Amino acid sequence: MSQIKIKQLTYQFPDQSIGLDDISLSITKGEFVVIAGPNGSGKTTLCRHLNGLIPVKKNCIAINGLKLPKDVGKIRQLVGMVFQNADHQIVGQTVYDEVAFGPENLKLSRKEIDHRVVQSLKTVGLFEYLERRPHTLSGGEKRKLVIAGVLAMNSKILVFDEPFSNLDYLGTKMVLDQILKLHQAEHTIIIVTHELEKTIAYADRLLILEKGKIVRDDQPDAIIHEVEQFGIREPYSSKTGQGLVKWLN
Amino acid sequence: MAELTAFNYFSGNSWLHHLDIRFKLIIIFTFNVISIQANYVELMMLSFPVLIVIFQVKLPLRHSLFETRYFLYFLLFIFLSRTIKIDVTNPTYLNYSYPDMIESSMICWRLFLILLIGLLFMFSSKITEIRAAVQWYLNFVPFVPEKKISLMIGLMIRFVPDILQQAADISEAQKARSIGKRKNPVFRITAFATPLFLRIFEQADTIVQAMLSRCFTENRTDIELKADKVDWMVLIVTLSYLVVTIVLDTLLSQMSFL
Repeated sequence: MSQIKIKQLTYQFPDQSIGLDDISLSITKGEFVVIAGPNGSGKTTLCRHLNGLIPVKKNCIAINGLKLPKDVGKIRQLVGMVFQNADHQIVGQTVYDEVAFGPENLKLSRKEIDHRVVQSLKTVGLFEYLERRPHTLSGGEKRKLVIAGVLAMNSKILVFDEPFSNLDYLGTKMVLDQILKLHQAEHTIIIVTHELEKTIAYADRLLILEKGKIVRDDQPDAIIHEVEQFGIREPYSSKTGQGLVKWLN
Repeated sequence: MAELTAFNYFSGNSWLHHLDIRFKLIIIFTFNVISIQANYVELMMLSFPVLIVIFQVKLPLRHSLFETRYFLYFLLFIFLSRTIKIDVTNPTYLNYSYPDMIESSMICWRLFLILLIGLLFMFSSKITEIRAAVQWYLNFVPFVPEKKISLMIGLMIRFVPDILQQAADISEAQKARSIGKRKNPVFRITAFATPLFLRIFEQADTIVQAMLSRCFTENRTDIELKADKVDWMVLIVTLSYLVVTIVLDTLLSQMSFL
């Protein structure tokens, strides 16, 4: 059954350029979807629509039966966004404050907030940093902190906008490992990227966007050889005939 | 962003970190009000406990002073401009007098003390606590939207280190491209301010989006403010010390008058 349903979604930027052009799409619960495309193809715009950050026409987007813009509050709780730049997303002065920010907005009791903060930090392995200042964490740890902030809101759908940008090898491994664990824990994962190498072997589905339109939507194996015509680099293993090799191996 | 700035919170376990933020605000406000009008005796009496607290809570003083160096240059400028007088009849001859020097050093000392108190406050107080305290105090003022005001203060404080960091990044990037060779100050200010403001606005927009994506609302669970015996003791001791300082200074000035 579809968890996310998007029907004929079109978006124009204030300068009249096309952001999204007649997007229709459905994503099932627990699916691992990679949305790829070159810069300016509309990936981030699509992400922001899923979280209700960009106003939409009525009945274009439904998530778990909730509709935008009517149920924007509940949808924001359900869909957790991890932005491209973790530094810009962090609002708390300590790791605790950062993770507690979402639950505090939900007006939960302090006891429940503390419980959720501890659980989320344990899930991402940052519990020992509870009182650390977020800006002293490494790039990978910051990204994990942002994920913990989203998990503390009990989000079931996690949207990652370029989750590996500006990360070194260890940071990338750390974040990818975390994403896979969350997928195993039955979260729906949507990763937006222009670089397929790291995630495509784990994905159930690959969507390619070009100039705001979905130009391919299929299992990764089926369309991986076509990606270069849309300005996306085909993974080396696929190019050399080894198929899609898991990056963490 | 890993670089630290002076006006950042440092998590710690000192008594200052644990002191109820409402009491901390009262103490800092009182200290600053007295400092503004303080003379040498009072300044010495006020500086002594401030220095003790700085070493006790391990405030990174050297780093903080380096970060606030432009303010220190400003103090030096105040000192020189109030001390040195140019003789109109002979402009090459610079005059100075000891009373002026004493007067201007006192002004600089006052401002420096206020800076140290501010550093201690920011070092030991989370933005969320400051917001909660402001909200708590404004609650007593009728017709004031306390949640909105405390939110604005919180965001403003949240932004200060980011703005300083952005300014440092831009400054370094421009130095790397030999901005020093451009002598026109208007060009230099424009070249610095334009990207700075653009980046600040962009970042503000991203932060707003990030906050909204996590269901941000004014009506959220606030921090629980609790005052215990230690908080009351610290408040009473500090205020008593300040009263003693004022009384002692009054007595000393009366004695010197006699």
